[in-house]
Amino acid sequence: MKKVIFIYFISLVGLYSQEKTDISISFNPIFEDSSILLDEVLYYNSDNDSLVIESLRFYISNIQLLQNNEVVYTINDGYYLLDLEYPESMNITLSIPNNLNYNRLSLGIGIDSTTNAKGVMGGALDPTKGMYWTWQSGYINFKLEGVSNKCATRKNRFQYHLGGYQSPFNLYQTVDLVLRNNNKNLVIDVDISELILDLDLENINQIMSPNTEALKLTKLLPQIFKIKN
Amino acid sequence: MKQKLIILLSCFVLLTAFSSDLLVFIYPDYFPKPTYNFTENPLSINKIELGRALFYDPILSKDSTVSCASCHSPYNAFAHTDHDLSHGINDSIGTRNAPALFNLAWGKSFMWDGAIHNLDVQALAPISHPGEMGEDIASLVSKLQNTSKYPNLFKHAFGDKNITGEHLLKAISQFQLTLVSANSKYDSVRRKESYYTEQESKGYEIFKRNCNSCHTEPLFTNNQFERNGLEIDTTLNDYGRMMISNNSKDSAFFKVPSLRNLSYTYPYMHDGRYRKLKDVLNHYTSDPSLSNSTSIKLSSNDKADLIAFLLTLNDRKFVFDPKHQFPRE
Repeated sequence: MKKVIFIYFISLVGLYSQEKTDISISFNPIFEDSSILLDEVLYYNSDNDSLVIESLRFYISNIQLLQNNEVVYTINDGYYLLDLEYPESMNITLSIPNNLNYNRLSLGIGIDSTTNAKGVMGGALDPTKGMYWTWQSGYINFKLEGVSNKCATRKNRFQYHLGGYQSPFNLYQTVDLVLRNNNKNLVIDVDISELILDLDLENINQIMSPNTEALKLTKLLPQIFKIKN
Repeated sequence: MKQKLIILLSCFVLLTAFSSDLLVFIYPDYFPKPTYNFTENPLSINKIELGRALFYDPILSKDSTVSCASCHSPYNAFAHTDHDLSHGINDSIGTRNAPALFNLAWGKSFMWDGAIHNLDVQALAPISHPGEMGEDIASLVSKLQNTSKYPNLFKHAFGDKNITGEHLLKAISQFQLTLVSANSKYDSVRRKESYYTEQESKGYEIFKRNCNSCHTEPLFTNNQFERNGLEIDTTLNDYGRMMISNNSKDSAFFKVPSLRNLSYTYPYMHDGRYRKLKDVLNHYTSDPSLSNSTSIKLSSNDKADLIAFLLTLNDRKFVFDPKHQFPRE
């Protein structure tokens, strides 16, 4: 009996004494080589075309660290709403065990179907955050709004609200990034040009529901995330 | 002995920890298990009462003129008698009939087209629809925060004066979950407390042969979507489920409504096109656009018998239950 209590005590101490360390992930929105500032004009295609990003917001979830092909750490119930309007939201700090070896990072872009299927949730998932559809249930995974001379729309505006979780339009995506061994200060470029240059902006400028166009655009999302260091 | 004492003691602690406020959801033993996940939102008196206050408060709409109860009146089993289409702020008229609200704990999806998958997020739709309440959920939260009444009610219900969208919606769900209709004559017969008349019995047999596959007992809906042969109203062009699923197979499919409380919930159908029950029966028995599987052959005697049975689904106790009505302070 005494032995059991002793082992229990030791394991408790072990649990509490497991050292934690912080790793930070900074998301850095760019267009090709230039940083994106909200509401500022940037020119592309040899300065023939212009673009103003007015809003960039997206969810990051299900963060995992891997060593080669093995998951070594998972952040459970971690849902982060990144919003360029609030620069501090573009940095995520994670507390992980000290002695972890990892060389890959996996990120969920958006909210997976299991989480979507639940009832109302709080924190970053609170429906007051402007990332939940009201007319049809489901989170908006990724929101990009702005103006481009290429859009033949009123005031040249475009709006992409990518989301939805029900088959055949389950738009949740993951991206897998290779890291320098055990790097604790990660900088990830979010290159919007990877979306915009592949898009027929003239014709596709409003996506507000889960549909074929939304699915096509969403498939491009993983490639906009690039590890910088 | 000592062990027993410890177990007893810990049970006592558990009971007191969860006492007073928490409630168990009660329903008849012949009902199926509810689909709502009560562990994520356990019922409590204070939360239900908060939800009830919100349900009857026009503050939920942009100009504080329309409450949930404006279109979901307790005396109509929470439907909107006499109005074929829903109403909203600035006298706007919607495109569908406001459905009755009861037995929502068994709902698998919500709205005529099933656009909403969970009761908790359903209220977002009417709150933010420009033709209904026209309010934004984030500005509603700050509006409520600036009242003298609501921060305290949220504190009592959720232990936090700071109102969130999550707590607001969970409270509205809680009140709606208490709207259980299980006290009609049909229910008392099921509980062997009463008997059908001869005509009601005949009507019940006709019902079981012809209606029960969609309006399935004891909830009187299979919670599925069906195409019932109604022609598309070209002033509305409402294709129902297809507008959500983007699948042409779902064209003109709508959610099967429960038949409970049907005397209180007219007009009928998703666009409220029929004012009388007999119009509904005439549609199912004589509409040439119906396929053989949906069409029903009934004599006029059969129709009278069927209606006699259908009237046993009215639940007066539910409709006049003071616990569901406008909260008196």
